[in-house]
Amino acid sequence: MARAFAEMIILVAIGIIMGFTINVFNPDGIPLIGQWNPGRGLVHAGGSCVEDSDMIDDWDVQSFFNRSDVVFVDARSRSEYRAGHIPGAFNLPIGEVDILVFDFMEMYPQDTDLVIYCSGPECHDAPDMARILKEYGYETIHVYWSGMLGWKKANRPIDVLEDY
Amino acid sequence: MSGRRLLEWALRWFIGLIFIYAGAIKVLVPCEMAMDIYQYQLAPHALINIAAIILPSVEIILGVCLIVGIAPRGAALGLSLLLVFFIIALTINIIRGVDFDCGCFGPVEYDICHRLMENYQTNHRPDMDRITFVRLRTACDVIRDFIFLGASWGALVLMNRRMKRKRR
Repeated sequence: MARAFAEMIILVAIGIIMGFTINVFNPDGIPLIGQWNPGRGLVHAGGSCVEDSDMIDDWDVQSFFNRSDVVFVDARSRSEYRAGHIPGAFNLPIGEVDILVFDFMEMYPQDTDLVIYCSGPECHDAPDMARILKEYGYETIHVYWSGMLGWKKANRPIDVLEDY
Repeated sequence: MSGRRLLEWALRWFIGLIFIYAGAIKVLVPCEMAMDIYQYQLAPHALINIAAIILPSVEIILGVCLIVGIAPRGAALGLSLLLVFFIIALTINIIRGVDFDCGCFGPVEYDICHRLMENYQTNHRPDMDRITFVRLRTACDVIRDFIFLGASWGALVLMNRRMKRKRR
C-alpha cells in the first residue's frame, strides 16, 4: 500500500503540472486568483471569463434608471420577475431568450441602451444575456452586476405582479 | 483470463473511462469549473482557481494510468481518495441546504442525476421547493459516487491481491 501511495503522489504531481500547462496554452485559461468577493463585483474566475460588457454598480444604476431612453432587462425566470422586479423592466428569461428575443427586438430596436440584471453578483445570467443580445445586434449593453439583491439593499422601488 | 482478472479489468476500464470523460469535459472550460467550485461554498477563495485548473487534469491522468496500467494501484488509490473527498463535500452541502450544482460532469449537464431529478420533478412533484430539489439531486450524486468508489476500491483490492500472489 505504501508503494501505491507513492505512485499516487507522483501521478497527482504529473496531473498538476499538466493542468497548469494546459491552462497556459488554453485561450480560455484563467489567472491563479479570481474575483470571488460578491461585495466587490460580479464573481468570476477572472481572465476572459466575463465579457467586457460595461459593468455598472449600485452608484451608476440610478442615473440609468432616471433616463427614459434606457431599457432594463430582467434575465431571471418569470416567477422571480413576478415576485419583484425593477419598475419598467422587460422580463427576458435566459432559458427562453431564443423564443422571446424576436418580440423584444420588435419593441426595442438594436440601438436601444440596455441595462441587464439578474438576481445578484453570484448570478451569471445577466452577462450571458449581454453576450446573446450582442449576437442579435445590440450595441450598447450594460450589466448591473449586483442585480436585484443590490437594488433591494438600496431600498429602491420594486414592482410586483399578481398576474403575469 | 480468470474471473478475478476479468473483473479487475472491467472495473479499471469502467472507472478509468468515467474519470477521463469527467476530466475531459471540464479541462478546457476553467471559468465554468471555477464557478462550480465557488458554488460549493467550501473552498477558500484563494484556492478556487487553482482547484479548477488542476482537478480535471488530475482526473484525466489518474483515469488514463488506471486503464493503460501505468502505476495502476496509485491511480486507483488516487481516484478512491478523490471520490471520498467528493462524497464528503456533497454530504456537507446536503446538510447545509446549499443551492449548488455538483458540476461533477462539467457545466454541460449530461449528469444522470440531473435527468432523473428533473423528470421526477416534472412528472411527480412540480411544486417541490428549490432546496429540496437540490438536496435530492445531490443525494443522487452521493449514491452515484459511492458506486464509483466501490468500483475503484474494488479494482485496487483485486490488483493488490494479484500482486501478492505474484510475489509468492
